[in-house]
Amino acid sequence: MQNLDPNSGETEKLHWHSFKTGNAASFEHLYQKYSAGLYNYGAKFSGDKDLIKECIQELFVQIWIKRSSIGNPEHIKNYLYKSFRNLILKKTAQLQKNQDFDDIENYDFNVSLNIEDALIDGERREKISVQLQEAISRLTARQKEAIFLRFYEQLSYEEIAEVMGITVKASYKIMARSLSFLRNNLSKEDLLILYMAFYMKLLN
Amino acid sequence: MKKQLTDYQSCTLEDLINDESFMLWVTQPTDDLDNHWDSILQAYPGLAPITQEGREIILSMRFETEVLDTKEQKELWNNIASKTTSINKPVRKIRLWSRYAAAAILVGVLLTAGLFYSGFREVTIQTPYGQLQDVTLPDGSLVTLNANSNIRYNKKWGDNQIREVWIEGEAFLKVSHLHKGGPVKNNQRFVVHTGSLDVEVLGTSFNVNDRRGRTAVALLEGKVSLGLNTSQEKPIIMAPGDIVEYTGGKLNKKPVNVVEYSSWKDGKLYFRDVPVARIFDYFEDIYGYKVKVDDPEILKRRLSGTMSSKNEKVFFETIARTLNISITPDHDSHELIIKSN
Repeated sequence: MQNLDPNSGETEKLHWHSFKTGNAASFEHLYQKYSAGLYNYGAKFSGDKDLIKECIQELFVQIWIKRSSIGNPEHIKNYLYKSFRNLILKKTAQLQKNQDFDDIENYDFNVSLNIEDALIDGERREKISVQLQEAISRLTARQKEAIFLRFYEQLSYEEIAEVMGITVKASYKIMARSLSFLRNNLSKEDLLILYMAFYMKLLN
Repeated sequence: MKKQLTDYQSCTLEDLINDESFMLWVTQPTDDLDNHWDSILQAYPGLAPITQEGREIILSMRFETEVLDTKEQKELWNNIASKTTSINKPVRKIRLWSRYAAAAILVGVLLTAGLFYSGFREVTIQTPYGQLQDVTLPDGSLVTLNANSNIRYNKKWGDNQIREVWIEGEAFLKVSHLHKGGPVKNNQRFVVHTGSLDVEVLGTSFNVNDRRGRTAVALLEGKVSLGLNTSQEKPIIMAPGDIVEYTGGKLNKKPVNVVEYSSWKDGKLYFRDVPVARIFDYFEDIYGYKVKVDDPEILKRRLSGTMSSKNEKVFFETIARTLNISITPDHDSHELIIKSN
Protein backbone atom coordinates (compact mmCIF):
# COMPACT_ATOMS: atom_id res chain seq x y z
CA MET A 1 0.00 0.00 0.00
CA GLN A 2 1.42 3.34 1.00
CA ASN A 3 5.07 3.90 1.47
CA LEU A 4 5.55 5.17 4.99
CA ASP A 5 9.23 5.92 4.75
CA PRO A 6 9.42 9.71 5.06
CA ASN A 7 12.42 9.79 2.72
CA SER A 8 10.68 7.82 -0.01
CA GLY A 9 9.20 10.96 -1.54
CA GLU A 10 12.74 12.22 -1.99
CA THR A 11 13.95 8.93 -3.46
CA GLU A 12 11.07 9.09 -5.91
CA LYS A 13 12.04 12.60 -6.91
CA LEU A 14 15.62 11.48 -7.51
CA HIS A 15 14.40 8.65 -9.70
CA TRP A 16 12.15 11.08 -11.55
CA HIS A 17 15.06 13.42 -12.22
CA SER A 18 17.33 10.70 -13.47
CA PHE A 19 14.52 9.22 -15.58
CA LYS A 20 14.20 12.64 -17.22
CA THR A 21 17.87 12.54 -18.17
CA GLY A 22 17.27 9.19 -19.84
CA ASN A 23 18.24 6.74 -17.11
CA ALA A 24 16.65 3.40 -18.03
CA ALA A 25 16.94 1.91 -14.54
CA SER A 26 15.02 4.81 -12.98
CA PHE A 27 12.39 4.54 -15.67
CA GLU A 28 11.97 0.86 -14.88
CA HIS A 29 11.82 1.68 -11.19
CA LEU A 30 8.86 3.99 -11.83
CA TYR A 31 7.15 1.23 -13.81
CA GLN A 32 7.75 -1.37 -11.09
CA LYS A 33 6.47 0.96 -8.44
CA TYR A 34 3.30 2.16 -10.10
CA SER A 35 2.15 -0.42 -12.67
CA ALA A 36 0.23 -2.69 -10.26
CA GLY A 37 -1.64 0.24 -8.69
CA LEU A 38 -2.43 1.74 -12.07
CA TYR A 39 -3.73 -1.59 -13.29
CA ASN A 40 -6.02 -1.96 -10.29
CA TYR A 41 -7.28 1.61 -10.73
CA GLY A 42 -7.79 1.12 -14.47
CA ALA A 43 -9.71 -2.12 -13.99
CA LYS A 44 -12.43 -0.10 -12.25
CA PHE A 45 -13.11 1.81 -15.45
CA SER A 46 -13.31 -1.12 -17.80
CA GLY A 47 -13.54 -4.90 -17.68
CA ASP A 48 -11.28 -5.08 -20.70
CA LYS A 49 -7.91 -6.05 -19.28
CA ASP A 50 -6.07 -5.67 -22.55
CA LEU A 51 -7.31 -2.13 -22.84
CA ILE A 52 -5.95 -1.33 -19.37
CA LYS A 53 -2.59 -2.84 -20.22
CA GLU A 54 -2.54 -0.93 -23.47
CA CYS A 55 -3.11 2.32 -21.58
CA ILE A 56 -0.34 1.54 -19.08
CA GLN A 57 1.98 0.85 -22.01
CA GLU A 58 0.98 4.05 -23.74
CA LEU A 59 1.41 6.07 -20.55
CA PHE A 60 4.97 4.89 -20.02
CA VAL A 61 5.94 5.12 -23.68
CA GLN A 62 4.54 8.66 -23.79
CA ILE A 63 6.34 9.91 -20.70
CA TRP A 64 9.55 8.38 -22.01
CA ILE A 65 9.19 10.20 -25.31
CA LYS A 66 8.32 13.47 -23.59
CA ARG A 67 10.81 12.98 -20.75
CA SER A 68 12.99 15.99 -21.43
CA SER A 69 10.08 18.41 -21.70
CA ILE A 70 8.07 16.99 -18.79
CA GLY A 71 7.97 19.12 -15.62
CA ASN A 72 8.59 18.10 -12.06
CA PRO A 73 5.17 17.24 -10.68
CA GLU A 74 4.79 17.72 -6.96
CA HIS A 75 3.31 14.24 -6.59
CA ILE A 76 4.59 11.78 -9.15
CA LYS A 77 1.86 9.30 -8.34
CA ASN A 78 -0.91 11.83 -8.85
CA TYR A 79 0.62 12.93 -12.10
CA LEU A 80 0.77 9.34 -13.39
CA TYR A 81 -2.76 8.51 -12.18
CA LYS A 82 -4.15 11.62 -13.76
CA SER A 83 -2.47 11.06 -17.13
CA PHE A 84 -3.47 7.40 -17.03
CA ARG A 85 -7.08 8.28 -16.23
CA ASN A 86 -7.19 10.67 -19.21
CA LEU A 87 -5.81 7.96 -21.48
CA ILE A 88 -8.43 5.44 -20.37
CA LEU A 89 -11.31 7.87 -20.73
CA LYS A 90 -10.05 8.87 -24.16
CA LYS A 91 -9.61 5.27 -25.29
CA THR A 92 -12.98 4.07 -24.05
CA ALA A 93 -14.66 7.10 -25.61
CA GLN A 94 -12.91 6.37 -28.90
CA LEU A 95 -14.00 2.76 -28.80
CA GLN A 96 -17.54 3.78 -28.07
CA LYS A 97 -17.56 6.52 -30.68
CA ASN A 98 -17.52 3.75 -33.24
CA GLN A 99 -20.82 2.75 -31.85
CA ASP A 100 -22.39 6.16 -31.33
CA PHE A 101 -21.42 6.97 -27.76
CA ASP A 102 -19.42 10.12 -27.36
CA ASP A 103 -20.10 11.49 -23.92
CA ILE A 104 -16.76 11.52 -22.11
CA GLU A 105 -18.33 12.61 -18.81
CA ASN A 106 -20.38 9.47 -18.84
CA TYR A 107 -17.95 6.82 -17.70
CA ASP A 108 -18.12 3.60 -15.72
CA PHE A 109 -16.40 3.03 -12.43
CA ASN A 110 -17.09 -0.35 -10.85
CA VAL A 111 -15.79 -1.31 -7.44
CA SER A 112 -16.52 -4.40 -5.41
CA LEU A 113 -15.95 -4.47 -1.71
CA ASN A 114 -14.09 -7.43 -0.39
CA ILE A 115 -16.04 -8.95 2.49
CA GLU A 116 -13.92 -11.61 4.06
CA ASP A 117 -15.26 -14.52 6.00
CA ALA A 118 -15.28 -14.10 9.75
CA LEU A 119 -17.07 -15.11 12.91
CA ILE A 120 -20.44 -14.20 11.49
CA ASP A 121 -22.28 -16.97 9.74
CA GLY A 122 -22.86 -17.20 6.02
CA GLU A 123 -26.35 -15.79 5.79
CA ARG A 124 -25.75 -12.85 8.08
CA ARG A 125 -22.57 -11.93 6.26
CA GLU A 126 -24.30 -12.43 2.99
CA LYS A 127 -27.01 -9.97 3.97
CA ILE A 128 -24.50 -7.32 4.99
CA SER A 129 -22.42 -7.89 1.92
CA VAL A 130 -25.46 -7.46 -0.30
CA GLN A 131 -26.51 -4.30 1.52
CA LEU A 132 -23.12 -2.71 1.34
CA GLN A 133 -22.62 -3.67 -2.26
CA GLU A 134 -26.04 -2.29 -3.08
CA ALA A 135 -25.38 0.96 -1.28
CA ILE A 136 -22.09 1.32 -3.16
CA SER A 137 -23.59 0.41 -6.50
CA ARG A 138 -26.11 3.20 -6.17
CA LEU A 139 -23.38 5.82 -5.99
CA THR A 140 -22.42 7.59 -9.20
CA ALA A 141 -19.18 6.72 -11.00
CA ARG A 142 -17.63 9.94 -9.68
CA GLN A 143 -18.63 9.18 -6.12
CA LYS A 144 -17.30 5.63 -6.38
CA GLU A 145 -14.06 6.87 -7.88
CA ALA A 146 -13.59 9.48 -5.15
CA ILE A 147 -14.23 6.86 -2.47
CA PHE A 148 -11.78 4.49 -4.09
CA LEU A 149 -9.08 7.16 -4.32
CA ARG A 150 -9.69 8.23 -0.74
CA PHE A 151 -9.90 4.89 0.99
CA TYR A 152 -7.82 2.65 -1.20
CA GLU A 153 -5.20 4.96 -2.60
CA GLN A 154 -5.43 7.16 0.51
CA LEU A 155 -5.25 10.39 -1.41
CA SER A 156 -6.21 13.68 0.22
CA TYR A 157 -9.09 15.77 -1.11
CA GLU A 158 -6.61 18.03 -2.87
CA GLU A 159 -5.02 15.05 -4.58
CA ILE A 160 -8.39 13.56 -5.54
CA ALA A 161 -9.28 16.88 -7.13
CA GLU A 162 -6.02 16.86 -9.05
CA VAL A 163 -6.38 13.32 -10.35
CA MET A 164 -10.04 13.65 -11.28
CA GLY A 165 -9.63 17.10 -12.75
CA ILE A 166 -12.20 18.78 -10.48
CA THR A 167 -11.99 21.55 -7.90
CA VAL A 168 -11.04 20.75 -4.31
CA LYS A 169 -14.44 22.02 -3.20
CA ALA A 170 -16.14 19.63 -5.58
CA SER A 171 -14.11 16.71 -4.24
CA TYR A 172 -15.21 17.57 -0.67
CA LYS A 173 -18.78 17.75 -1.86
CA ILE A 174 -18.67 14.44 -3.70
CA MET A 175 -17.19 12.72 -0.68
CA ALA A 176 -19.59 14.27 1.82
CA ARG A 177 -22.53 13.21 -0.30
CA SER A 178 -21.27 9.66 -0.75
CA LEU A 179 -20.47 9.23 2.94
CA SER A 180 -23.83 10.46 4.12
CA PHE A 181 -25.44 8.19 1.57
CA LEU A 182 -23.57 5.18 2.91
CA ARG A 183 -24.29 6.12 6.51
CA ASN A 184 -27.97 6.44 5.81
CA ASN A 185 -28.13 3.19 3.93
CA LEU A 186 -26.35 0.97 6.40
CA SER A 187 -27.34 0.37 9.97
CA LYS A 188 -24.80 1.02 12.72
CA GLU A 189 -24.89 -2.61 13.70
CA ASP A 190 -23.97 -3.70 10.19
CA LEU A 191 -21.02 -1.35 10.09
CA LEU A 192 -19.84 -2.69 13.43
CA ILE A 193 -19.99 -6.27 12.26
CA LEU A 194 -18.12 -5.35 9.11
CA TYR A 195 -15.46 -3.72 11.21
CA MET A 196 -15.02 -6.92 13.21
CA ALA A 197 -15.03 -8.97 10.08
CA PHE A 198 -12.08 -7.17 8.61
CA TYR A 199 -9.81 -8.31 11.39
CA MET A 200 -10.27 -11.92 10.51
CA LYS A 201 -9.26 -13.27 7.20
CA LEU A 202 -10.15 -16.90 7.01
CA LEU A 203 -10.35 -17.10 3.26
CA ASN A 204 -7.60 -16.24 0.85
CA MET B 1 -0.75 18.52 0.47
CA LYS B 2 -2.07 16.52 3.37
CA LYS B 3 -3.63 18.67 6.00
CA GLN B 4 -2.92 18.06 9.65
CA LEU B 5 -5.95 18.33 11.85
CA THR B 6 -5.53 20.85 14.64
CA ASP B 7 -8.98 21.94 15.73
CA TYR B 8 -10.23 18.81 17.49
CA GLN B 9 -12.95 20.67 19.36
CA SER B 10 -15.15 21.27 16.34
CA CYS B 11 -13.95 18.70 13.87
CA THR B 12 -16.43 16.70 11.86
CA LEU B 13 -16.47 13.13 10.64
CA GLU B 14 -15.31 14.29 7.23
CA ASP B 15 -12.37 16.18 8.78
CA LEU B 16 -11.33 13.06 10.64
CA ILE B 17 -11.51 10.90 7.55
CA ASN B 18 -9.45 13.42 5.68
CA ASP B 19 -6.79 13.49 8.36
CA GLU B 20 -3.74 11.50 7.36
CA SER B 21 -2.70 10.66 10.88
CA PHE B 22 -6.21 9.38 11.64
CA MET B 23 -6.23 7.24 8.52
CA LEU B 24 -2.83 5.79 9.42
CA TRP B 25 -3.89 5.17 13.00
CA VAL B 26 -6.86 3.15 11.76
CA THR B 27 -5.13 1.26 8.98
CA GLN B 28 -1.56 0.89 10.26
CA PRO B 29 -1.50 1.65 13.98
CA THR B 30 1.81 2.12 15.79
CA ASP B 31 2.53 2.80 19.46
CA ASP B 32 3.16 6.46 18.69
CA LEU B 33 -0.13 6.84 16.87
CA ASP B 34 -1.97 4.98 19.64
CA ASN B 35 -0.52 7.33 22.25
CA HIS B 36 -1.23 10.37 20.13
CA TRP B 37 -4.87 9.52 19.56
CA ASP B 38 -5.47 8.23 23.10
CA SER B 39 -4.34 11.54 24.48
CA ILE B 40 -6.53 13.45 22.02
CA LEU B 41 -9.54 11.36 23.00
CA GLN B 42 -8.82 12.01 26.68
CA ALA B 43 -8.66 15.72 26.07
CA TYR B 44 -11.75 15.74 23.83
CA PRO B 45 -14.08 12.98 25.02
CA GLY B 46 -16.77 14.38 22.73
CA LEU B 47 -14.80 13.06 19.77
CA ALA B 48 -15.32 9.41 20.70
CA PRO B 49 -18.50 8.74 18.69
CA ILE B 50 -17.21 10.18 15.44
CA THR B 51 -13.80 8.55 15.79
CA GLN B 52 -15.61 5.23 16.15
CA GLU B 53 -17.77 5.98 13.14
CA GLY B 54 -14.82 7.18 11.08
CA ARG B 55 -12.90 4.06 12.00
CA GLU B 56 -15.77 1.82 10.93
CA ILE B 57 -16.17 3.60 7.64
CA ILE B 58 -12.48 3.44 6.82
CA LEU B 59 -12.28 -0.21 7.74
CA SER B 60 -15.35 -1.17 5.75
CA MET B 61 -13.82 0.25 2.60
CA ARG B 62 -11.84 -2.73 1.49
CA PHE B 63 -11.87 -2.94 -2.25
CA GLU B 64 -11.38 -5.93 -4.44
CA THR B 65 -8.07 -5.54 -6.17
CA GLU B 66 -7.39 -6.48 -9.74
CA VAL B 67 -3.99 -8.07 -9.77
CA LEU B 68 -1.48 -7.72 -12.53
CA ASP B 69 0.46 -10.93 -12.04
CA THR B 70 4.24 -10.98 -12.21
CA LYS B 71 4.27 -12.58 -15.64
CA GLU B 72 1.87 -10.02 -17.13
CA GLN B 73 3.77 -7.21 -15.45
CA LYS B 74 7.01 -8.47 -16.96
CA GLU B 75 5.53 -8.90 -20.42
CA LEU B 76 4.08 -5.44 -20.32
CA TRP B 77 7.43 -4.03 -19.25
CA ASN B 78 9.15 -5.85 -22.12
CA ASN B 79 6.70 -4.21 -24.53
CA ILE B 80 7.36 -0.80 -23.02
CA ALA B 81 11.13 -1.33 -22.96
CA SER B 82 11.16 -2.43 -26.59
CA LYS B 83 9.52 0.85 -27.52
CA THR B 84 11.66 2.99 -25.20
CA THR B 85 14.87 2.11 -23.38
CA SER B 86 15.91 -0.96 -25.36
CA ILE B 87 14.86 0.41 -28.71
CA ASN B 88 18.32 -0.03 -30.23
CA LYS B 89 19.16 -3.35 -28.71
CA PRO B 90 18.96 -6.34 -31.05
CA VAL B 91 15.87 -8.47 -30.64
CA ARG B 92 16.75 -11.79 -29.10
CA LYS B 93 16.11 -14.79 -31.28
CA ILE B 94 13.56 -17.30 -30.12
CA ARG B 95 15.41 -20.33 -28.85
CA LEU B 96 14.66 -23.64 -30.43
CA TRP B 97 13.29 -25.30 -27.31
CA SER B 98 10.52 -22.77 -26.97
CA ARG B 99 9.31 -23.74 -30.43
CA TYR B 100 9.20 -27.33 -29.33
CA ALA B 101 7.31 -26.28 -26.24
CA ALA B 102 4.78 -24.49 -28.41
CA ALA B 103 4.38 -27.58 -30.55
CA ALA B 104 3.94 -29.73 -27.48
CA ILE B 105 1.30 -27.41 -26.12
CA LEU B 106 -0.50 -27.50 -29.44
CA VAL B 107 -0.52 -31.29 -29.45
CA GLY B 108 -1.77 -31.20 -25.88
CA VAL B 109 -4.57 -28.90 -26.90
CA LEU B 110 -5.47 -31.16 -29.81
CA LEU B 111 -5.67 -34.16 -27.54
CA THR B 112 -7.49 -32.69 -24.59
CA ALA B 113 -9.92 -30.48 -26.39
CA GLY B 114 -11.03 -33.10 -28.83
CA LEU B 115 -10.47 -30.88 -31.82
CA PHE B 116 -11.66 -32.45 -35.03
CA TYR B 117 -12.59 -31.49 -38.53
CA SER B 118 -15.74 -32.43 -40.32
CA GLY B 119 -15.36 -32.34 -44.07
CA PHE B 120 -12.01 -30.55 -43.50
CA ARG B 121 -13.87 -27.26 -43.31
CA GLU B 122 -15.48 -26.99 -39.95
CA VAL B 123 -13.76 -26.85 -36.58
CA THR B 124 -15.46 -28.04 -33.42
CA ILE B 125 -13.88 -27.60 -30.03
CA GLN B 126 -15.38 -29.27 -27.00
CA THR B 127 -14.04 -28.62 -23.51
CA PRO B 128 -14.17 -31.38 -20.88
CA TYR B 129 -15.67 -30.87 -17.42
CA GLY B 130 -13.63 -28.61 -15.16
CA GLN B 131 -11.42 -27.09 -17.88
CA LEU B 132 -11.45 -23.78 -19.70
CA GLN B 133 -9.89 -23.19 -23.08
CA ASP B 134 -8.85 -20.15 -25.09
CA VAL B 135 -9.61 -20.29 -28.80
CA THR B 136 -8.43 -17.87 -31.51
CA LEU B 137 -10.85 -17.59 -34.41
CA PRO B 138 -9.70 -17.21 -38.06
CA ASP B 139 -10.05 -13.40 -37.86
CA GLY B 140 -8.03 -13.16 -34.64
CA SER B 141 -11.07 -12.78 -32.39
CA LEU B 142 -10.58 -14.41 -29.00
CA VAL B 143 -12.91 -16.85 -27.31
CA THR B 144 -12.62 -18.29 -23.83
CA LEU B 145 -14.69 -21.43 -23.66
CA ASN B 146 -15.98 -22.45 -20.25
CA ALA B 147 -15.93 -26.08 -19.13
CA ASN B 148 -18.43 -28.48 -20.74
CA SER B 149 -19.06 -26.21 -23.70
CA ASN B 150 -18.46 -26.31 -27.39
CA ILE B 151 -17.87 -23.94 -30.27
CA ARG B 152 -18.16 -24.65 -34.00
CA TYR B 153 -16.99 -22.48 -36.88
CA ASN B 154 -15.64 -22.64 -40.41
CA LYS B 155 -11.91 -23.16 -40.61
CA LYS B 156 -11.54 -20.36 -43.15
CA TRP B 157 -13.53 -17.19 -43.36
CA GLY B 158 -13.84 -15.79 -46.87
CA ASP B 159 -13.46 -12.14 -47.77
CA ASN B 160 -17.12 -11.62 -48.35
CA GLN B 161 -18.46 -14.00 -45.78
CA ILE B 162 -20.24 -13.28 -42.51
CA ARG B 163 -18.17 -14.45 -39.56
CA GLU B 164 -20.31 -17.07 -37.85
CA VAL B 165 -19.84 -19.27 -34.78
CA TRP B 166 -22.15 -21.72 -33.03
CA ILE B 167 -21.91 -22.02 -29.27
CA GLU B 168 -23.33 -24.43 -26.72
CA GLY B 169 -22.61 -23.95 -23.03
CA GLU B 170 -20.80 -20.77 -22.04
CA ALA B 171 -18.21 -18.58 -23.73
CA PHE B 172 -16.64 -15.16 -23.41
CA LEU B 173 -15.92 -13.48 -26.75
CA LYS B 174 -13.70 -10.61 -27.69
CA VAL B 175 -14.40 -9.83 -31.32
CA SER B 176 -11.98 -8.07 -33.67
CA HIS B 177 -13.51 -4.91 -34.96
CA LEU B 178 -13.40 -4.76 -38.73
CA HIS B 179 -16.07 -2.15 -39.36
CA LYS B 180 -14.38 1.22 -39.89
CA GLY B 181 -17.38 3.31 -40.85
CA GLY B 182 -19.57 3.35 -43.93
CA PRO B 183 -22.07 0.66 -44.79
CA VAL B 184 -21.42 -2.64 -43.03
CA LYS B 185 -19.98 -5.26 -45.35
CA ASN B 186 -20.62 -8.96 -44.92
CA ASN B 187 -17.17 -9.81 -43.62
CA GLN B 188 -17.46 -7.10 -40.99
CA ARG B 189 -20.46 -8.85 -39.51
CA PHE B 190 -20.00 -11.34 -36.73
CA VAL B 191 -22.87 -13.57 -35.64
CA VAL B 192 -23.04 -15.96 -32.70
CA HIS B 193 -25.71 -18.65 -32.91
CA THR B 194 -26.99 -20.33 -29.78
CA GLY B 195 -29.86 -22.75 -29.30
CA SER B 196 -32.48 -20.06 -29.64
CA LEU B 197 -30.72 -16.74 -30.21
CA ASP B 198 -28.66 -15.03 -32.86
CA VAL B 199 -26.27 -12.42 -31.51
CA GLU B 200 -24.94 -9.97 -34.06
CA VAL B 201 -21.84 -8.04 -33.17
CA LEU B 202 -19.74 -5.08 -34.23
CA GLY B 203 -16.42 -5.40 -32.39
CA THR B 204 -17.05 -5.98 -28.77
CA SER B 205 -16.57 -8.19 -25.75
CA PHE B 206 -19.43 -10.14 -24.29
CA ASN B 207 -20.44 -13.33 -22.52
CA VAL B 208 -22.86 -15.93 -23.84
CA ASN B 209 -24.41 -18.55 -21.60
CA ASP B 210 -26.70 -21.11 -23.19
CA ARG B 211 -27.59 -23.83 -20.73
CA ARG B 212 -30.68 -25.51 -19.34
CA GLY B 213 -32.99 -23.91 -21.86
CA ARG B 214 -32.00 -20.44 -20.73
CA THR B 215 -29.75 -18.16 -22.78
CA ALA B 216 -28.07 -15.12 -21.24
CA VAL B 217 -25.95 -12.60 -23.10
CA ALA B 218 -23.97 -10.05 -21.07
CA LEU B 219 -22.29 -7.18 -22.87
CA LEU B 220 -19.08 -5.60 -21.54
CA GLU B 221 -18.07 -3.27 -24.36
CA GLY B 222 -19.33 -2.22 -27.76
CA LYS B 223 -22.70 -2.96 -29.23
CA VAL B 224 -24.60 -6.09 -30.13
CA SER B 225 -28.02 -6.75 -31.53
CA LEU B 226 -29.84 -9.80 -30.43
CA GLY B 227 -32.75 -11.59 -32.05
CA LEU B 228 -34.62 -14.87 -31.84
CA ASN B 229 -33.59 -17.14 -34.67
CA THR B 230 -37.11 -18.43 -35.00
CA SER B 231 -38.97 -15.20 -35.53
CA GLN B 232 -38.77 -12.03 -37.54
CA GLU B 233 -39.39 -9.82 -34.53
CA LYS B 234 -37.29 -6.70 -34.19
CA PRO B 235 -33.97 -7.51 -32.52
CA ILE B 236 -32.97 -5.99 -29.17
CA ILE B 237 -29.97 -3.63 -29.23
CA MET B 238 -27.78 -4.00 -26.18
CA ALA B 239 -25.60 -1.32 -24.58
CA PRO B 240 -22.53 -2.02 -22.39
CA GLY B 241 -23.67 -3.15 -18.98
CA ASP B 242 -26.82 -4.83 -20.24
CA ILE B 243 -27.68 -8.44 -19.88
CA VAL B 244 -30.42 -10.05 -21.91
CA GLU B 245 -31.95 -13.31 -20.81
CA TYR B 246 -34.03 -15.55 -22.95
CA THR B 247 -36.14 -17.95 -20.98
CA GLY B 248 -39.59 -19.42 -21.46
CA GLY B 249 -39.99 -17.84 -24.90
CA LYS B 250 -39.33 -14.28 -23.70
CA LEU B 251 -36.44 -11.85 -24.01
CA ASN B 252 -35.74 -9.68 -20.96
CA LYS B 253 -33.20 -6.90 -20.81
CA LYS B 254 -31.74 -5.63 -17.52
CA PRO B 255 -28.63 -3.69 -16.52
CA VAL B 256 -26.22 -5.53 -14.20
CA ASN B 257 -22.58 -5.54 -13.26
CA VAL B 258 -21.63 -7.57 -16.31
CA VAL B 259 -18.06 -8.16 -15.20
CA GLU B 260 -19.61 -10.64 -12.78
CA TYR B 261 -20.96 -12.61 -15.70
CA SER B 262 -17.59 -13.10 -17.34
CA SER B 263 -15.37 -13.41 -14.26
CA TRP B 264 -15.27 -17.20 -14.65
CA LYS B 265 -12.70 -16.78 -17.42
CA ASP B 266 -10.26 -15.39 -14.86
CA GLY B 267 -10.96 -18.21 -12.42
CA LYS B 268 -13.16 -16.13 -10.15
CA LEU B 269 -16.86 -16.24 -9.50
CA TYR B 270 -19.04 -13.46 -8.19
CA PHE B 271 -22.35 -14.29 -6.64
CA ARG B 272 -24.77 -11.61 -5.70
CA ASP B 273 -27.78 -12.94 -3.86
CA VAL B 274 -27.77 -16.10 -5.96
CA PRO B 275 -30.05 -19.00 -4.99
CA VAL B 276 -28.02 -21.97 -3.85
CA ALA B 277 -29.92 -24.20 -6.31
CA ARG B 278 -28.38 -22.18 -9.14
CA ILE B 279 -24.88 -22.74 -7.77
CA PHE B 280 -25.54 -26.48 -7.65
CA ASP B 281 -26.68 -26.32 -11.29
CA TYR B 282 -23.34 -24.71 -11.95
CA PHE B 283 -21.51 -27.62 -10.23
CA GLU B 284 -23.38 -29.98 -12.54
CA ASP B 285 -22.70 -27.98 -15.69
CA ILE B 286 -19.06 -27.22 -15.08
CA TYR B 287 -17.75 -30.20 -13.14
CA GLY B 288 -20.09 -32.89 -14.41
CA TYR B 289 -21.42 -34.09 -11.06
CA LYS B 290 -24.97 -35.08 -10.23
CA VAL B 291 -25.87 -33.14 -7.10
CA LYS B 292 -27.67 -35.03 -4.29
CA VAL B 293 -29.07 -32.91 -1.49
CA ASP B 294 -30.38 -34.42 1.74
CA ASP B 295 -32.23 -31.32 2.89
CA PRO B 296 -34.12 -29.35 0.19
CA GLU B 297 -34.13 -26.33 2.52
CA ILE B 298 -30.49 -25.75 1.54
CA LEU B 299 -31.59 -25.03 -2.02
CA LYS B 300 -33.70 -22.08 -0.93
CA ARG B 301 -30.84 -20.23 0.68
CA ARG B 302 -29.01 -17.47 -1.15
CA LEU B 303 -25.34 -16.63 -1.38
CA SER B 304 -23.24 -13.57 -2.11
CA GLY B 305 -19.50 -13.19 -2.36
CA THR B 306 -16.43 -13.63 -4.47
CA MET B 307 -14.64 -16.90 -4.69
CA SER B 308 -11.86 -18.52 -6.59
CA SER B 309 -13.06 -21.30 -8.87
CA LYS B 310 -9.59 -22.23 -10.11
CA ASN B 311 -9.40 -25.26 -7.87
CA GLU B 312 -12.47 -27.46 -7.67
CA LYS B 313 -11.68 -28.70 -4.17
CA VAL B 314 -11.05 -25.23 -2.75
CA PHE B 315 -14.15 -23.88 -4.48
CA PHE B 316 -16.38 -26.60 -2.96
CA GLU B 317 -14.74 -26.10 0.42
CA THR B 318 -15.38 -22.35 0.33
CA ILE B 319 -19.05 -22.83 -0.49
CA ALA B 320 -19.39 -25.58 2.11
CA ARG B 321 -17.89 -23.43 4.85
CA THR B 322 -19.93 -20.39 3.92
CA LEU B 323 -23.21 -22.31 3.98
CA ASN B 324 -22.20 -24.57 6.85
CA ILE B 325 -22.83 -27.72 4.83
CA SER B 326 -20.63 -30.57 3.67
CA ILE B 327 -19.91 -31.23 0.01
CA THR B 328 -18.41 -34.63 -0.76
CA PRO B 329 -17.65 -35.74 -4.31
CA ASP B 330 -18.08 -39.43 -5.07
CA HIS B 331 -15.76 -40.00 -8.00
CA ASP B 332 -17.15 -43.43 -8.87
CA SER B 333 -20.79 -42.47 -9.23
CA HIS B 334 -20.02 -38.85 -10.23
CA GLU B 335 -22.31 -37.67 -7.50
CA LEU B 336 -21.85 -34.70 -5.23
CA ILE B 337 -23.28 -35.52 -1.82
CA ILE B 338 -24.49 -32.42 0.01
CA LYS B 339 -25.49 -32.54 3.66
CA SER B 340 -26.35 -29.83 6.14
CA ASN B 341 -24.05 -29.83 9.19
